[in-house]
Amino acid sequence: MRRYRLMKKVLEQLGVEDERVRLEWISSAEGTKFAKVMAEFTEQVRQLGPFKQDQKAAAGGEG
Amino acid sequence: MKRITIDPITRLEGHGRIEIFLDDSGAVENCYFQIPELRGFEKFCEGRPAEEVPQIVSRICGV
Amino acid sequence: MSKLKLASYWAAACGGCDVAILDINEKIIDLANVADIVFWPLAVDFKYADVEAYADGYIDVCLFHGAIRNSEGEHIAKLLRQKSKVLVAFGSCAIAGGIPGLANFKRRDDILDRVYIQSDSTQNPERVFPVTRYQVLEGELELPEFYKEVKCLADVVDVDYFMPGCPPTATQVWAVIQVIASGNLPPKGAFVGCSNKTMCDECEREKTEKKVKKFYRPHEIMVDPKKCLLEQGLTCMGPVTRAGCGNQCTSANLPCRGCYGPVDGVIDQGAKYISALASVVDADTPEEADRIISEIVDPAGTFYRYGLPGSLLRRAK
Ligand code: SF4
Ligand code: SF4
Repeated sequence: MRRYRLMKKVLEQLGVEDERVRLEWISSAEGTKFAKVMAEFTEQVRQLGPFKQDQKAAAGGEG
Repeated sequence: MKRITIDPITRLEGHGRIEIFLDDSGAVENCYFQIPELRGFEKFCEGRPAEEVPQIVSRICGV
Repeated sequence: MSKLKLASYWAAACGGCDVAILDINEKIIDLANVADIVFWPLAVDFKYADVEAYADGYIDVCLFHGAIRNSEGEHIAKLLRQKSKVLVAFGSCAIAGGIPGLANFKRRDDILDRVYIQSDSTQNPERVFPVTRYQVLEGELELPEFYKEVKCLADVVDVDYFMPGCPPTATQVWAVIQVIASGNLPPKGAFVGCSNKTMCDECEREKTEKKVKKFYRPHEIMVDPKKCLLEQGLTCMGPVTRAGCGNQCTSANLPCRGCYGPVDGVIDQGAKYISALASVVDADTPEEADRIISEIVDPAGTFYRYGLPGSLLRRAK
């Protein structure tokens, strides 16, 4: 969890959108939840389009 | 017109080139000094913590 | 045995690596006994044209410093690769981008704009930028192309050895020169002039339990000169950095910034440090974890201080 939070902070500076990274706890018994989360997340990333470096401003001043 | 190229200039830090153009009598007609290098410290120091900057800018020139 | 033919070159570098070679001091005489310098812009007056005239493989060992920032760097890297039997990526910039690699946090056009338009000492109302070709009265002038991003030497040519450090220490330089002169070369791709332990393994500071409740910036704390810096809340990159520098920064009470790069087997030093650093955060609740983590200033610029171009993401988006 702490790794995830710190990693998010770093990725933000590197210009990787928040919506591209997601952490969920799913047990092996939760097949439906797994399918749902995967479908949702795939759709979300699809909407964002391919990860193109150098298209958007590189985190501007914060970078 | 004769052209003399000094590339690279040596025994100093950094990159430089000198282009000398001679007229028909062999006298210098014009001379250009070029610096083919840029790293961009001005920009990439932005966003770095102030206390880290001395260690970063000491890499402008290590000679 | 005939004398070694040695070359040393800088692309996007500061010259510190060249000076590290000179820092072997009087041993430079011993170096001159075993090697002839055939190209070294810092110290001797050979031109690119001289290198071009050499036969392929003429240079025995080329120490290449600096990152690949523009087309000239790439061109000379290829030229020196062709002319050298052994090519060494010498120093952090050549290996992973180094400090010039911080430019990969920024966009090319923003860098040019900052330098040629916004800088306080510049007046440029016509917005003149460097161009690769320019026609003057007397003929055409050329400048290299400023690339979109900083690259590592190994991105553009095949590299035989890697010698880390910003710069590598003089003792290591001398040790490596002796190895080269002896002809007992390590296997290709090896990291030389360093160890495969981490900085922490060689650090003499007292280590107890790594549990951090608060991260500090150097001016917020009186550093205990005996205790581990990370345990005191400074973001020391010792746990993920290759040893070999003789713990230069930590022995001056400064946290390591990772210039020797990661140890063998670690692909991304910054990512490894995220993992290492997060594991010392001593929080009881998620909110506390958030607070502690928020105290780390400029994490990306710190964890990738010397190696953004060599990292997995290579540059900021
Ligand atoms: S974290 Fe830094 S100060 Fe602590 S043991 Fe490692 S190198 Fe030494
Ligand atoms: S302590 Fe770290 S940053 Fe400092 S010289 Fe050594 S490896 Fe480089």
